Order: sequence, then structure tokens, then C-alpha cells
Amino acid sequence: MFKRFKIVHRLTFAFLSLGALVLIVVSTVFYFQFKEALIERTLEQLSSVNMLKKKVMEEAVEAKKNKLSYFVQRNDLSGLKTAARDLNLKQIESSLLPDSLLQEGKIVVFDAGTLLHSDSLLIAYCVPFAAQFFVFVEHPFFIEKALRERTGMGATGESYIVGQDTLMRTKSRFFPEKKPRTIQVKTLGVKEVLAGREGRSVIRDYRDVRVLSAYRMLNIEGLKWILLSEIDEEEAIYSVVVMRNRLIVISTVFLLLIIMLSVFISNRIAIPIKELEHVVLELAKGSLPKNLPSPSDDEIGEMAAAIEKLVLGLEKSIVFADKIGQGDFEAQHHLLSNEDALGKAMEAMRNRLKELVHKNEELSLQSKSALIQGQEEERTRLSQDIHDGVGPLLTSLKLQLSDLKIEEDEKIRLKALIDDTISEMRRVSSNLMPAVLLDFGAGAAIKNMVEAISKSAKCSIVFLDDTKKSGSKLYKEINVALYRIAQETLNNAIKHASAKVIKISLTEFEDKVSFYISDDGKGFKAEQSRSDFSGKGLKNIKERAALLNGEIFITSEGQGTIVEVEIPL
Amino acid sequence: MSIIKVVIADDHQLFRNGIVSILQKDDSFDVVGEAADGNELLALLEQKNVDVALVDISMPGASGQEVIVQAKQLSPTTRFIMLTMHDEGQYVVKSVRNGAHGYLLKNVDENELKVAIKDVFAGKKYFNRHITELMINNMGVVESEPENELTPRELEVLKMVSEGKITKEIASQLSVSTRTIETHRVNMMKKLGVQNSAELIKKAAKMNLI
Repeated sequence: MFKRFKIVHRLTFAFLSLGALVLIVVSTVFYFQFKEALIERTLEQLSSVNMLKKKVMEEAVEAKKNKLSYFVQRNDLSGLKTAARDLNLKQIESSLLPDSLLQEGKIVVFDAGTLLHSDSLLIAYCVPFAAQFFVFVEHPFFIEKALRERTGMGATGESYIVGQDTLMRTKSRFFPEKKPRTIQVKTLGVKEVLAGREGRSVIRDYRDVRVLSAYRMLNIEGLKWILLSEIDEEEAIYSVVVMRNRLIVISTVFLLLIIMLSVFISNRIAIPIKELEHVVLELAKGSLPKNLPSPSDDEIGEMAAAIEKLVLGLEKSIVFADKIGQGDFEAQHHLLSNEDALGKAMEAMRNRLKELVHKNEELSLQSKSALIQGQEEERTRLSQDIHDGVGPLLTSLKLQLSDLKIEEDEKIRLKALIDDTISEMRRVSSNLMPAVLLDFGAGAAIKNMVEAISKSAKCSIVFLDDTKKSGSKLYKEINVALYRIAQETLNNAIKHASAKVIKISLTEFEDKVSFYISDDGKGFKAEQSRSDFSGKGLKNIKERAALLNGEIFITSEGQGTIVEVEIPL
Repeated sequence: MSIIKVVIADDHQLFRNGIVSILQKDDSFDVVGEAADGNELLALLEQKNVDVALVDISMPGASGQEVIVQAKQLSPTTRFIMLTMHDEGQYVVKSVRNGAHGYLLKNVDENELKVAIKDVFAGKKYFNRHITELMINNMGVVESEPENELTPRELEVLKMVSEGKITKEIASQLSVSTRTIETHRVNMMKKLGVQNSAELIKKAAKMNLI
């Protein structure tokens, strides 16, 4: 499943989940820590407010008790009554009270509202005075005032008093129309206090709303009242909620940033991989990729470098193969490694091809050689047949003319005709294969040719024969080849180049023979009509030289042509 | 005037017949034998006293020019005339060098043939104007070329080098390629055992070559 996703998605997913995890863990821990600390602080605050109120109430009751007690000790009944009036206490019948409350020697305070089944909050002071009991009741405004004091209580804060019977004694802020005694407060706080413990905690109040609550028993003898100070949890932790919301917003922003960043980074990683993939696909198609990704220093860069190496290797191989394809069998290939199978295969191919071509060339050379040799032999035979066969017959004919009984004039005419025939025969024979060439070598034969041509040609031909007159190493094939080359080039210089001065030399060295001809005529690059020379004639010369392992050098630049042939001896 | 004893060596029967019939009509000549090749000629010369031998150059086996070298030793008194189809100076020169006393082309006139035989028999040499021209054109110095000695061409090049001419000038003057002059130069340095052109001239001067 995971494999199906592309790298970009995987990386994005990884970045995102990592970022989200960190954000969530940090935010959550932060949130709960903060919340707890806030609740703890608020509870502490509530507790001190609660304590303060408690003290105010206790002190107020104690002060009243002390005032009344002062007049009791003085046995001043009128003072007592005056003081009670000053304190807004109303006297009631003591007979209404149960005997348990009437105690000698001390002022007893009790919950008059309960006793009198009143809906109001009332406390009563039972004062023993000279074997009598005076009971004073008051509506304790100071308690209500203390409860209404809202400092440190926030918007939802409430302090109220619950009696031992778990019924509310003071008015609820939330149900002002309800009579306090109809509201039962059987909350955890109340239970704790009734069990003798005071404290603070997060509980559910009588409305079943979660509140932070501080609770204590009022320390007033005779009154079993529980003072609770509470604030809605919702309000207490409001700033935490705000903070949580902000955290969510910040987290969302962060997650978006992470997504963008991860997409960016993933692309930075994935794009070079994509490019490499493209390169490898190109390679797979057999084409050579042109744009290689620029290498970086990371692993992808190393891979890119490796692929570049591969491409370069292939490129070399292609160049090598191309060279082989173009017939360059001297092309060298450096194996990329000892395991370069392709390179080795191509080298083997080159060697095999080279061998084949070499063999082919050899065969072709052999057959050409045989062809030329056969042709020359044929010419020789034909030339000799004409020269040595037909010639003597013609001369015999001429001799026999003398015996004929014909007019002397006729004889002279016929003899002249036979002489012409003989010279024509000589010319034909010599053209085919000069006897001098076979008997005296190329130097002599070329000399004769030059002399013969000089008679009719309109140009000056200089021939320098530096072949050895004795001990010459020139053998028949070389002589014939040199003569034919001279024939071809001289003919060309006269006929096609319209040369005025032609210089020819034939020089025999110890290890080679060198033929040289230069003319001042039209170079064959400039002149179309010399295509004969650059075509068939040139080919002939080259072939003849090649058959004898000779070299040919041609210079032709508009003005004049130089042909040099060197044949090793 | 004594009768001139003549033999004819030619591989063509018909041609021999023609010559023989011409000579037989003239009392000055006695055709004492015919040969179809060099060996037959040599055999003939051994047996008979021959004044003049007409010898063809192109014959089966040894050529006429080679045969006369042996024939002259065998019969020092016999004089030789080449009678051939070869109208080229090289053959003339070689024949003369090998000891021929005359050179005739086969389409020779009856009269010229007789004159030539008579002249040669009389101790002269016979070459007509055409043959003389051919001969002169092809007379070259016979080179002797001992090892490590410079050839005439090399000496010529050396002289021009010592005159301060550059290779191109020398090549142009001699109608040869610069490559050839370079080869001459290298060969001369090899022969004289020197390393460069300066040393070459120094050594040549020392040896009085220039």
C-alpha cells in the first residue's frame, strides 16, 4: 500500500506526521500543565477568599456575643436590651426553644431559621441572664454582605452557606426566585465538610455544573454551617481555552508550513531523482541523454555522477562504434573497466572487422595485381607478336619487292608504303609495351616517350633520369608501374592541363625509387575537364602505387600540379 | 677483292630467305650459314670461318646483344652487325658496348645492307645518320658506384648546397622534387657519416669534393 505512493507523498507524509506528533504532544502537555496550574491557582485564590469571608462572619458573630456577654456579666438587663436593639436583634420568647439550647453560663448561637421554620436566614443568640434566658434573633446582613462581596470571584463566582441538613441557607445567585431551603446541596464539598474535612477541589455543584470549590465549616459554636466559595470551571480555565484555541490555530499554521516545506524539500529530493529517471529511461531507449542533472554533494548527486559516468562511458562506446562503423579500424577504445563487456565485445568486433577488411583488401589487391599483371603480360605478348612477328614479315615483304618485275617507280612507292606500315607497327607495339621498358627499364622507356612526345608537343618537357644504369634494383613490375604512371601523368599534363613546362624526374635510391612530375598548367581542382585525371587516371596511379606498397603525393592548387610517387625497393 | 663470308641469325625463316636471296645475287657475298637462334650462331661460328655476322636482337633464348659477347670470344675475327626491328637508342648503345660493328634496322634498303656489310668487313663501323643520332642521344657516362662514394647527382646537389641554395631552389633547378633532394641530402650525410648539413659541407670540403 505504502509502496504505491511516490516519494514526494511519502516524504510529505513523514514530515507531516512527525510535525503533527510533536505539535500535538507539546501542545497537549502544555495545555494540561497550564490548565492544572491555573486550576490550582484559582482554587488557592478561592480558598483564601473563602477563608476571608469565614473570618469576617465569625468575627462579626463573636463581636456581637462579646457585647451581649459584657452586659450579662454586669447584670445590666436594660444595657443588654439596649445593646441588642443597637445590634438590630429582636427578642423572642424563650419558651419556643428546646431545652438543649438553654445552657447556663454562656451565650449559645443557633440557626433560628430552621428552628422557626422560616424561609429567611436567621441566627439567634440565647443569652442566660439571672436564671432566665433571653433569646435574640437577627437577620444577619453582615453574612449576606460578606457573601455578596465579589472580589476575586469573577463573573460566575458564588459564595453560599449550606446547613447540616445539606439544604441551602442563603439565596442562590443562579436561582434567585427559589427559596433557599428547597435547594439541596449534596455535593462532594458538603460531604467532605460533614465528614470533618475542609479543602478545595473541582466538583459538580448543585446545578450539576463543574465548578472549582473551596469549602469550610464556619467556626461558630452552635451553628453547623458550611461556607462554600465556588467559581465555574469554564470561567476559571477560560484563558486556557483561549490558549488552546490559539495553540490549535498556531498548530494549523505550523502544519501548513510543514506541508509546504515538506513538499518543497521532497521536490528538492524527488526532482533530481525524476531527472535521473528520465536520463535512465533515455538510456534504456538507446538514445544518449544530452542534459545531465547538475551534480550535488549528496547521495543523489553521487548517483547523478555515477549515471554521468555511465553516459560518458556509453558516449565513448558510441564514438568508438561510430568510428568502426565509418571504417576507422585504428580507433582506440579505453575499456571502462576490466568488466567492460560492451567495450570488449566492440574491440573484438573491431579486430574481426579489421581482419576481414584487411583480408578483403588483400584479396582485392591480389586480384587487382593479377589483373594488371595479366593485362601487362597480354600487352607484352601482343606487342612482341606485332614487333617480332609482323615486323619481320613486313621487312621480308620489302626485301622481296626487289625481285618483282615491276616499274622502279612502283617499287619505290610500295617500299615507302611498307616503311610507313613498319613505323606504324612500331608505334602500336611501343604503345602497347615498349620493348625498351622490359630490356632497359623505366628510365630509358620514359626517356624515349618524352623524346617522342617532345617532337609533336608544343611544350617543353625536361626529364632527369637518375636510375642506375648498372646494378639497378628496379624489377619488371616496378618498371611497368613507373612507366604507366609517367604515361598517365604526362598525358594528363599535356592534354588536360595545357602545361607549357613539364618537369619529370625518376630517381633511384638505395631503398626506394621516386617519380616526380610537375607542370605549370591548370590544377585539376580548378578545371572540370581534368576530372578524368582526378577520377579514373588518378585511381589507376594510386592502385599501381598501392600494389607495390608505394605512396603517392599530389599537390594541385590552380597553378600547376605536382605528383610524386615513391615506391620502396 | 675477296668474297665476304656472311652468316645470318634470325628466328624468322622468311626474313632470312629474303636476306639470303639478296646477298646471293651479288658475287661479293657468300652466305655460309643460317642460324635460328643464338646457340645455332655460336655453333656455326665454331665450325666455319665467318667474316660478317648479321644478328637479330630479339631471338628465342639469349638476345642477340648477349650472344655477340660470347661470339666475339669464340671468333675474334668475325665482325657483327645488328639487324633488328628495334628503333631505340638504348639498343644501339648496348649493342655497340657489347661489340657490334654496325646497327641496321630490318627495313633496310638492299643497297644500304650491302654497303654496311662491306664497310664493316673493311674494318669500319657502320651506323647511318638515324642510328648515330639515336646513339648520341643515349650515350651516358657509365657510372661506377662504389659503396660510400657520392654519385654524380649527389655531387651536383652537394655543390649547390655548398653554394647556399635551399632545397626548393635545387629541386627546381634539377627538375626533381624537394623530397628527392632531401633524400639525396640524407643519403650523402649517411655516406659521409655526418649528422647535419653544416657538417656535410665541412667534411665534403675536407675531402675536396667541392
